[in-house]
Amino acid sequence: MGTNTYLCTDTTPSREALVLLGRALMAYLFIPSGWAKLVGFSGTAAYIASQGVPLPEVAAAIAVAGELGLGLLLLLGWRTRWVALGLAAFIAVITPIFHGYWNVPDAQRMMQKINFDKNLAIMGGLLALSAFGPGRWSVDGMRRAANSAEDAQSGDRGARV
Amino acid sequence: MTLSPATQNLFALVGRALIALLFIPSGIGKITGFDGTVRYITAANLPMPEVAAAIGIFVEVVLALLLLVGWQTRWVALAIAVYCIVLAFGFHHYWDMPAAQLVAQKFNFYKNLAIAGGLLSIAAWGAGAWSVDSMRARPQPAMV
Repeated sequence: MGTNTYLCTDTTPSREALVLLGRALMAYLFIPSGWAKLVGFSGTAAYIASQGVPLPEVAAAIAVAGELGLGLLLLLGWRTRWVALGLAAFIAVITPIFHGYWNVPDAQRMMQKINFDKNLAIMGGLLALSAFGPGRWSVDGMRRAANSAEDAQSGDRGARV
Repeated sequence: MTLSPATQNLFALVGRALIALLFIPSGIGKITGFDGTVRYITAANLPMPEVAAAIGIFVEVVLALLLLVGWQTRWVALAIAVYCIVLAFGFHHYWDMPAAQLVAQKFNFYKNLAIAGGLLSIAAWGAGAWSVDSMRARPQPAMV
């Protein structure tokens, strides 16, 4: 009882709009990038191979699934907290590999450091989203609303999504 | 998915810290390299470069520290989100950049928007329990 105190409990339209817009802005980074990796799959695999990553085709497929698949789920808000956590883990893995600024020529260092730091900040936003959940304007939120009577009956007010 | 309150608070704190750590060193760099910052802003054809640099320092140092400690977190996160979006359009308008910069600036543009997106979820729900806001144990001001 009383856990998850800031998960959709003090909802207002402005809060729901903020979190929906926030999810859309994050998805807008991942979905086009995942789509581009899919349509340019061989180029994606070649780029991954150039960074010394093993099994570049498999890695490229994981990247497409992560960016396109999880990006779409983030936008829709389906199992959002797991999806956000999955994307955060994805960023944690790829960032040191592709933006390891300590390892690149001086001319690229500043740009890669900015990318590195921005990726960590995006990961931070995903963690916050994972903590708080997607709000009511989401598949999760609609399912929660449908389950609320059942939850009230069982006295379980915890997050069910 | 059920997260324990401690996990929620941990994620919220680590999330705030990761965002703050993008801004605070960058803001300190803008103080120590103030003249260079002003030149960079001037080169981007933005108005009042000294004022803009001062606003940048305020957001990146002061507001980011407030985000980290979680004071007035929802307003602070909203302000930093707006700042990210303004910077995306002011400095990373990749669509009219030379080809050599286009890809790099496109990443910067979309990454800025994604960072703003994460900040908006903090603006929606607040900082979590491990924050000054929560310790003050007063409801945060209602937002609209």
